[in-house]
Amino acid sequence: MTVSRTTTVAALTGAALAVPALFILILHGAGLTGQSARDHAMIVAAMYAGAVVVSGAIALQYWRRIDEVARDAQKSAWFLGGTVAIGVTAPLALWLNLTRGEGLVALLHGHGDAGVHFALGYLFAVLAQGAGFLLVWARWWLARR
Amino acid sequence: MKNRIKVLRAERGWSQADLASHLDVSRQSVNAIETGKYDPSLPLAFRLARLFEQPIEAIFQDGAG
Repeated sequence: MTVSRTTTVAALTGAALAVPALFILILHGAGLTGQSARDHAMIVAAMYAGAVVVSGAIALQYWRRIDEVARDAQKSAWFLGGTVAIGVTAPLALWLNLTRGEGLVALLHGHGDAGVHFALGYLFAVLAQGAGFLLVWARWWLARR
Repeated sequence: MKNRIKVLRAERGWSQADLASHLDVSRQSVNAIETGKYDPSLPLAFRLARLFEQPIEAIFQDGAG
């Protein structure tokens, strides 16, 4: 699939604007008040926008540079590794739900609020999918040596 | 899918890295295709055919016929 440079730039610009805007709206909706808190949110949003543009540009360059075999490895690894990782770790989410998160709260020694717990859940999902990706990706290439 | 890439490559005295360079793919990809562990796309198969100056069916055999 060929993606034109104009489409790429438009997509990156759109993501760089839309994602932080949504981020700010969510924070505003969450009752973010005070100049300091708003300034902090703006800094975080700006950093996030930068991260979206830089990581997006790197990912697109990488995708253009690799050949079709490497692309197939990436697709298989994200599909299989990502979905299996979510399925395998689902019991942990169920267990946390059934125990009202007591295990997680104990692990954090009572620190953190719902926002921290949600962010940890997001991070855990990313790490689980990343681990699943790496396993399937390595297996894919080892099988084709 | 079986193929004659290794033979055709050897006839020209090319290494896997040489062929990879001609095709603009990685050496690992050439190895995967050559050993029949990865079936190339039609565009890549046509590039191979043009490079070796052979019809595609003279390079790849699906084993069904």
